[in-house]
Amino acid sequence: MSTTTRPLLIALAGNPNVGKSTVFNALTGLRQHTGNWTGKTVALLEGTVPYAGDEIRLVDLPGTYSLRAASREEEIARDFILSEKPDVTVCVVDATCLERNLSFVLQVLRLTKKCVVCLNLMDEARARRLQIDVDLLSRELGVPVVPTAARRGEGLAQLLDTVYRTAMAFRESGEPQPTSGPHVRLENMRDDEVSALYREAEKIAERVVGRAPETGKALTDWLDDIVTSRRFGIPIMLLLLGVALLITISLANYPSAALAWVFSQVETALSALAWSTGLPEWLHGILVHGCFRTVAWVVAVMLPPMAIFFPLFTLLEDFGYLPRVAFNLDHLFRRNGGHGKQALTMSMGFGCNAAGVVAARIIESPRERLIAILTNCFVPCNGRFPTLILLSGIFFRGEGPLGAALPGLAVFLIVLAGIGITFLVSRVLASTVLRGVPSSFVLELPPYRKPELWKTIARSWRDRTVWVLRRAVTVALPCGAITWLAANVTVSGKTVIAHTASILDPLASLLGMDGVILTAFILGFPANEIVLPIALMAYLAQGTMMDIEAAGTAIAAILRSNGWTWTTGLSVLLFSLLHFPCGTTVYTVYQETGSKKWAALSFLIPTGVACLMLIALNGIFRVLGIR
Amino acid sequence: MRDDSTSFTSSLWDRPAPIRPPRHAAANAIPDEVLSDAQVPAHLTPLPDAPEHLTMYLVSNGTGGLLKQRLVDLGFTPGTPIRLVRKGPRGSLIAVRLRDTVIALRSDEARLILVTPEAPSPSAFEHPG
Repeated sequence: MSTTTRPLLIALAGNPNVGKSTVFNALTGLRQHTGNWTGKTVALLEGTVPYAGDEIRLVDLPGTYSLRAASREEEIARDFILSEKPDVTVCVVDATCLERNLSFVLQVLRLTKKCVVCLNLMDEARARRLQIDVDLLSRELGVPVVPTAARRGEGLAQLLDTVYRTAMAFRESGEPQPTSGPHVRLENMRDDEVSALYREAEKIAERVVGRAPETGKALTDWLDDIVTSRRFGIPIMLLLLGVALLITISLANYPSAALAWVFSQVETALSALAWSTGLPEWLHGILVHGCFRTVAWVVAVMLPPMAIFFPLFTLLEDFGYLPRVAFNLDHLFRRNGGHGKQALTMSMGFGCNAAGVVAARIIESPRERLIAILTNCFVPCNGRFPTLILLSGIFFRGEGPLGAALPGLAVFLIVLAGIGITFLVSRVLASTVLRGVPSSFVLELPPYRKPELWKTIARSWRDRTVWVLRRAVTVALPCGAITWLAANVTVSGKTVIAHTASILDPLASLLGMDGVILTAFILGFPANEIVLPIALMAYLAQGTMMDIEAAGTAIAAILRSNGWTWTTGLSVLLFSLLHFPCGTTVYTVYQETGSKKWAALSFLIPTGVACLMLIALNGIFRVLGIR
Repeated sequence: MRDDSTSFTSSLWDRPAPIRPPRHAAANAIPDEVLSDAQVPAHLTPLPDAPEHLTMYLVSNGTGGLLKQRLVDLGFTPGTPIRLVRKGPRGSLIAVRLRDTVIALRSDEARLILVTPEAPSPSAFEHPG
């Protein structure tokens, strides 16, 4: 019964923290991608929903408190509604704080009457004994209202049905004219106009919501008394980080070993196949020892720590903990010239520094946003994290159960060192190139919410796996081939990699490392996760990595036989933490700031910091005679 | 209809935003002059000094620029019931509850928001000015 010429376009709009992405995920499932929209270079998450023989395109607009276009996000949301003219704009609203959400709906209704309200979080509203007259709300607003509890899947079928029927009705009848007043361009909306909308929202909410008398302290308040307290706030934060690291480090070995075993079987089979087809030795080397081993190594060593750490992290995020971190740390950031929300961008940086750089958009002051962007790489990302874990496991493991916890402690301290350096560099930036007064801080502390445990873990696993596999194929594969060639092609008696290593040796020894690992860091510029694979390939005489199955112990043996001591290990750990971010991150800085200067600084500042730190540290080692 | 009584609260609420520190040009900057205590009328309290867990009513929002716009978007409008929930780890931040949400603010910015324990008269906003 498809009567449409183009697929229905539906926009999801709403305040932050109203479960908008839960609605979006529940409706679109896995059928999601990031779509680019005309006019501006804006990437918005888009998904498709098959419905009644038609295909509905669903676009997730940024969560904003208003559409006044004061911030980039608000501008994106408003421009999308005005210029893409979605068939229906779905306003997702939080049933537990209707007043504020209604003022947003009233703003949307000034832009378009093609609107459906999704009254979400009805389960929480019920738990708080709020009674909402949905029919009356619908009559007051003049648009359909569908109650949902997206986490439990309640009401979503009805939402989709209502959206579809509303959209089809508008397709037939055309856009209704605004019923009251002229069409208002919201960017001109003054504070008193918003206040007037709030008064209207108050009146509607008063008529529509029936409240039970407040019953004592809510769980959120009770938790916040501890989590944001002067005494326990920061210790709890450190404890959570430490526990997450400990769980990751103690569990990651098992899947790593299993993956390595699988890959080594595949490699044996591939080699056998190559022999039987009479593949030339050099091609076999490039394909199996270069490409396959590097990809297998990146997947086996990098994927498990990520697949454990990031679900834990996402659970904390979904629980609502991260805004509390910003609340607890704002005074520290502010004292160092930054902004409390930098804590949120740093949290994103654990996943990927490029994502952290993009997340800095939430900081409105350009000065503080730049500080957050330029210092983001001091948080170890996805690509470096497993390297830190692996090297700590080799060089800082002690005897007994306590000794086994030492690598975890080492990674913890390295992460803390990164946070300390972030403060230090922020402070230096704020007193030199980025001088200025602190901006304001306004942040909602949403109620704690029970995370959707398995959905979150499944989603996080899928995202991480896709991410790792994509990087493995796009970066590790070609780099593996290049590195194999560099480690095997001989020029005047030495391999190419031996030549570059000997050129870099003097500088590297100042930094407490050797030329090979420094070469690997430079070759690893496209993606940090290939640094160790490159170094190992270069160390091995015949230019290939050892059997990946023997990972842990063999790596330790290779590194030690190439002169690594614990000071080398520490130097490499610190260099990995502090050195230049990967190519993607530098490019993202360029995109986000639109300035080559800041992109260059995002490379030079960390590199400078890494060199200074390591030269000082190794100078001290030399003076004290520590080897 | 306007309530013509001359009682304290109605005269307070009839004048829109009676006490307002000077507006500041810089969108993000904290104003250099924060109201000194002497400038705050006796019946009004700067938000961070309000007693914890007691419902107050917002009288005026003396912040400026983008911060003010943000606050208005979040519902910091005159007459709104507002409650100080807690002070941050170093007292530099406060968390307030208004319109069923909790918002964190810096104390020195929140100082420009003045509150009163008296509820506004119902007619106060029907005919502003």
